[in-house]
Amino acid sequence: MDISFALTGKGYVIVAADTTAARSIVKMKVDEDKIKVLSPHLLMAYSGEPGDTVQFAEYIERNIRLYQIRNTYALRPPSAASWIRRALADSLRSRKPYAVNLLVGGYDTSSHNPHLYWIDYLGTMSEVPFAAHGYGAYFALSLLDRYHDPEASVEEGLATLKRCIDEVAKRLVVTPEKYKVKIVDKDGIREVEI
Amino acid sequence: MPGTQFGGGSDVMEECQKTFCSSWEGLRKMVEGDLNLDNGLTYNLEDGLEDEAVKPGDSTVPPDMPEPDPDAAGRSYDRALTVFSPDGHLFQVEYALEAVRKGTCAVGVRGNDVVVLGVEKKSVLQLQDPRTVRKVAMLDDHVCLAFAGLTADGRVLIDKARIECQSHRLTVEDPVTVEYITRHIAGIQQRYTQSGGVRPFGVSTLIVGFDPHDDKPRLYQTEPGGIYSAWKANAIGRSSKTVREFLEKNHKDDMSRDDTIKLTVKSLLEVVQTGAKNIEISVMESYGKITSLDLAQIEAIVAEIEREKEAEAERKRSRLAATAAGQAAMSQAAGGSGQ
Repeated sequence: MDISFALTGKGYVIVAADTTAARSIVKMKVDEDKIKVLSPHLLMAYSGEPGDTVQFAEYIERNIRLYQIRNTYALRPPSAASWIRRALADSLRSRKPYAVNLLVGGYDTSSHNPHLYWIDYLGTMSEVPFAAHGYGAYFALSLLDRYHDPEASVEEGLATLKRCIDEVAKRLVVTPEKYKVKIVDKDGIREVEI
Repeated sequence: MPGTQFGGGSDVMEECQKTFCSSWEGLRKMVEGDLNLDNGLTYNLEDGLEDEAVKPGDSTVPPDMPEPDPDAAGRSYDRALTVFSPDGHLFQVEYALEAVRKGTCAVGVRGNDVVVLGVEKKSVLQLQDPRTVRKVAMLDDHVCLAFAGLTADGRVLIDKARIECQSHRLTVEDPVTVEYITRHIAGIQQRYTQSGGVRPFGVSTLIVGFDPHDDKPRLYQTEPGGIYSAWKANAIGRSSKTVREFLEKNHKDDMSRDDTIKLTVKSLLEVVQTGAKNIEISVMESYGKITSLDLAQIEAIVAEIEREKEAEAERKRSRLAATAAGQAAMSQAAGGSGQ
């Protein structure tokens, strides 16, 4: 039931995820943060099997941090995404795989480019200009096809994100009431209200 | 056989009973500890205990280097490395301490709300990249370590400590305390004095930092034997005795940031002849706030210390001159009255 969106723009990536934690038909809480800050310029939205998600995300978080402490510099987004995909692919081939879908967004401080990766629980990865996971994907992708602009400012990007969220609110049977939105750009990571 | 404790799982007990307990011979073998079953598995009392000590997080962070195997003693490995001498010494540990004494000097000083690490930096060769030779390492956001002794051994220890820092965060969602990570490092060092086929780490370490949700600076030391202790100020490595004595004379409680840094530099200058360019200073001011002083800053402090020394010497000279003049005047007066 989790819904997450992400889109790139001129020098930034916006990552959004709903904040509901549900079990069966019951909402357990509505302020769950499903976007982890992995390094000063890297974000990861996770969704999927409850329990697996948090466990896997924390494992990734600690290992990315360990890399940064060992090497002084954090992994750049392409390398981080590749490593995360590999961790998921290795897990898939273990006795009890993690069922987690991810959106990894980051800003490369060396080449000054935003990067966004769509990764699913089977270890599929592709670099994309915009992405969505969950039921939101059915409604948002066509909108993003129409409205996404790689040269858009942050305000325009947020407006496009708003369109996606509104469309989901309009058409999906059960719709999350709140989203957490985080932006990563050259200045690092910040959260915005929407 | 992870998690298998002797006598723990009922399957294991049944297996043992089937195989051995019917005969006296089997029982005797079990009591003796190491027990080789026909299926090739070895059950050992220590294993279960060892496994309980390992936290779940450990297995998730990639393993780096094989730990010394507690089983090794049982399997006729070479275990002659660290054995007691007849008068109760572990020579290998003492040799390790000797390696530490040959290493470059490192100083740690605790101030009122700051803790400073200073290390003597060996001059790098002309064509060498100085950035690749470092003696102060960050273990986590809030913990720093400096070591004296074998650099390669230090690196291994640092890597283990860094993994433990992240592993601790993963398992209990809290950063390590300085004492915890010190104890962990000392624990590793101790293990390498009591296992077969390994040699002790040739390093002593100074560990500084702040505990989470706390503003008290911490300073700990570890030694190759696995001893660890807390200090107000301490030195390890070459001429550490001289430096420690200097610190004992000059350390005051509740020193300010600048005083603490100055004392650190001053104490290092006792043994570093070449001055500022061979000194490296790291300052930790609060949780996660670490700065490394650059050469210009250290040079400024060294110059200030030189000036103070000069002024002190000048005062001493003028005082001596004054006394000498006074004595001369007195003796003249005495001579005059005698006539």
